[in-house]
Amino acid sequence: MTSNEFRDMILIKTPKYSVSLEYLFEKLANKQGKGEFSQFGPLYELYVYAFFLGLKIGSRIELASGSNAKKFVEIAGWKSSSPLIDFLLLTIFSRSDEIGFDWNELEDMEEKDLAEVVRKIITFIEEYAYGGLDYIKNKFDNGQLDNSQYLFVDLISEVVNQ
Amino acid sequence: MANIINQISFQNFYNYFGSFDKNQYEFSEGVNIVVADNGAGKSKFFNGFLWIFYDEVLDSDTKTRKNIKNQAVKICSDKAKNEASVNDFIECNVALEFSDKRFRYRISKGFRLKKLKSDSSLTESADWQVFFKELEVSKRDIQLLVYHEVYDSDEQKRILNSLIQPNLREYSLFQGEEVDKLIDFNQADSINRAVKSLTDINKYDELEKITKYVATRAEGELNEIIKSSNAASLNYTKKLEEKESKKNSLESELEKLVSYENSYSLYKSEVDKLENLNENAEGRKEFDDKIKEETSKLKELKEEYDRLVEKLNERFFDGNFGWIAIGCENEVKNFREKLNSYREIRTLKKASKLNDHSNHQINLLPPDSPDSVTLQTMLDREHCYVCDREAKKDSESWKHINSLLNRKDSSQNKPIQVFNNDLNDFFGDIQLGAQPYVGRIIGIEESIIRTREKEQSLLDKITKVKEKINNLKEERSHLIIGGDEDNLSDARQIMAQYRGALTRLQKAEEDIIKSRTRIDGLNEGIRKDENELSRMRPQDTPKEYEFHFEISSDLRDAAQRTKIRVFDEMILKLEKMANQHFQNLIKHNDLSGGILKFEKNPIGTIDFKYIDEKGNEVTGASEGFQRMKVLAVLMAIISVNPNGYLYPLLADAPLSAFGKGFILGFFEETEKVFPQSIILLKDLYDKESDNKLNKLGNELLKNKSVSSIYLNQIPENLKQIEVYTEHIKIK
Amino acid sequence: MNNALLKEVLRDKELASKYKINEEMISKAKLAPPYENEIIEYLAVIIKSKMLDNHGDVTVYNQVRNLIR
Repeated sequence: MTSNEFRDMILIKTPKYSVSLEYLFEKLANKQGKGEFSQFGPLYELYVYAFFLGLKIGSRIELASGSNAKKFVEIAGWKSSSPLIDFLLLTIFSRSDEIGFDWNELEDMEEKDLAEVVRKIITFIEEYAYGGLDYIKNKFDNGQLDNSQYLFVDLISEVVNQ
Repeated sequence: MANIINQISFQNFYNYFGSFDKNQYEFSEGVNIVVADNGAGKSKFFNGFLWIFYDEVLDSDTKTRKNIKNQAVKICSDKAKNEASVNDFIECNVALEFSDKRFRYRISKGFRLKKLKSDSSLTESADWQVFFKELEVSKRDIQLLVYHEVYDSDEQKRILNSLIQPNLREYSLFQGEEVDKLIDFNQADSINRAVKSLTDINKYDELEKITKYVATRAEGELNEIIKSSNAASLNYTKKLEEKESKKNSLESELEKLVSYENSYSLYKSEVDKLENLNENAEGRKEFDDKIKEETSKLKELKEEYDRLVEKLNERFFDGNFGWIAIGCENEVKNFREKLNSYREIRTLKKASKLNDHSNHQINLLPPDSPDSVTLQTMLDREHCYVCDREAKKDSESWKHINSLLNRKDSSQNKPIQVFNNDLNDFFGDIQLGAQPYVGRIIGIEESIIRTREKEQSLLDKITKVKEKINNLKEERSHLIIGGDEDNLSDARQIMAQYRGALTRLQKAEEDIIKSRTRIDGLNEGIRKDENELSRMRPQDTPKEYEFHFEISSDLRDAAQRTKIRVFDEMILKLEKMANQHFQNLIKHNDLSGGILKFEKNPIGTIDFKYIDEKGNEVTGASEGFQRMKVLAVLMAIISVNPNGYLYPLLADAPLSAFGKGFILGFFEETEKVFPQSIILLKDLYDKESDNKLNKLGNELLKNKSVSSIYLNQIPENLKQIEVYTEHIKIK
Repeated sequence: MNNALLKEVLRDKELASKYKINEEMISKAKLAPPYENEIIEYLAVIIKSKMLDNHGDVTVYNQVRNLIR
């Protein structure tokens, strides 16, 4: 398998999120309209943000299996013209230990083993994203979300500086 | 010589409880001041004058003047009313003594009040019965002591009117803010009226009329005589007729002139009114332009702000900012370390694998084997150079050479696959692709701070511009157009009306000029005719008729010319004096005032302008200046009289209406213009000071313009029904 | 006041030059005899009659008419 093929394997994936969090997306991510809160544009932006938030607070929550999950557009479409995807991969691969693989070993793996690693990677993304979304959800439900444009900036700065 | 008020006294008049001698004020020439704080009888004192001159008093409840007839119960002192027993009579009187050069006069007005019930209310008129007394006037020779009653009502009237002439009273007697009404500069006629009242300019009109009448009659007589003598030649008669017809034209032309002058007046006041509005309209337009400018600035700033704030969250992902990477230093570090170690291990792995491979490949070919090019050449030429013999295609030797070539190629070109998946580029691309974020991680906090600062500075700018707009709008609202303030079309309409009115005014002026020219022409023609007629007169005409005619005509013409000359001189003098007075009135003030200008307008009345050194009209002067303007003009009109002004000034004047900087000037100048003034003030009262005068009061005490100061006081802690006023003479 | 009226008219240039009225005459002029010359008398009579005594126009005219006879 070539580098490009491996990259495509990852980027073709469509991570999921729990349908119980759908309302958050409506409130906080709205491509066209303006909501009462600060908004992200495309939905995946909130998702990525939540992923990083989850990483910072170290909160990783398993998604319940079954049809309670909604899917995003494939990762390849996530602001593909920006450094986002690469930085995401950078983050992921920096945590390869946690995810459970070794870089060099990857090079000797058969295709089905690689597929397994990719699966673990996606799960990694989904679970940390869930952790971040859950954190946001709690704040939202308790009315602790600030009505300012700096909502997301403040939220993640707060978490980082702790 | 002027009339001087010597004394005023009250009996049971408002707070002035008790007999005359308890409430007596002596006055002299110059400035006399009565200081009375609120409620200590200041306006009531002035009511004494109002009663004497107008049979009115100012009702403090409604602030209007009321006839004395209905005010009797209110006027009478509460204390007196309270202390009186049923059926008692209370005397309520005002008495005033003044002198001219020969006599001293005493005028008194009053009434008796009968208490009808023992518990008569202090205010209910039904509880009292009023008996008004006749006007009492007495006089004595200044040198003598005994007063003689004056019973003749005409004489009484004459004496009363001589104190202050009725048509001058409005200029001599004023209360507070009424100063403004003395001369209303916005009314074209106001100055003329004052000039007519205060000077004898009218006399010249009268003289003009009477001399005209006399001349006309003299002429009539002359012509009668000539006609009746039959000596008149035909020519003479004809010439006479010509002259008569010219005179008729003159009369009708004069009538036209009057109507033109009236139109002019009308248009002038229209123009004046619109000018005020127009100035405001132009001023408002200026503001409108400024407001428009600032509003579009505001819009730009707001748009910039909105853009900044909306795109805020984009900065997480934008390659120029990369805020999403905040706090990911560890990840970056780990990645780099892992990448390095991955590459190290990988190189070692690769090297060992290659090593194995190259060992395997070494025994395949003999050391001196020809190279591929040579092999290829041998195949092409079908000749083996090693053995030096023919090797035809597809022969054994040819096939052998071919296989050697193949083995060499494959062993040289065949890639050794070290790894199943070569991911070096994979990781390299990640590092490269993420670089824009990684490089900026350190600066993220700073970037956020700068963004907030930029936002704040935009907000500040927006606030400033909003404030500026509000200020402009407020200033603009002071220029009222009258009607819908915000209507731009109103402003344009007013400007159009103004221009229209100006045009009409100009036309009226032209009409007047043309008419005057025609009148002059007619007059000239009439004069010529008269000259001819005088030459053509029959010899036997009685000389006295001619002489009479001549002298009366000359006087008529002279009177006419004199009227114009005197009027013109007066305007010059008015201007000079007004400016003198004005400078004196404001000299203690820090600001310098403008110049007062009087001009004769086309219809022969006086226009007034207030201009600065550059000749521009001064607008928006403070209240104090406005009042001083009025006083200066008034004083000038009074001073222009060759005999001066012979009457006292009686003023209930709140100095606050003038302003501090004008008070000294006011007193000093008043003393020069009015032979006597009696001024009622509260502004000099200070409860805490020793002599109850404040700083200004003490200054005036020392000022030589001031000849007497009285201080009114009400004893403290008295109930209303016990209240009475006492006074002391401080100077 | 009325004296001033008299003097002002006498000051009229044309009148003064035609009837030979000089400054001294003007300063002495008043509304009672003696009169320095006819024009002064004529004018003084008019002024006194109209302004001071408040006579009607006809009376004023008759008074000056009598002067000439």
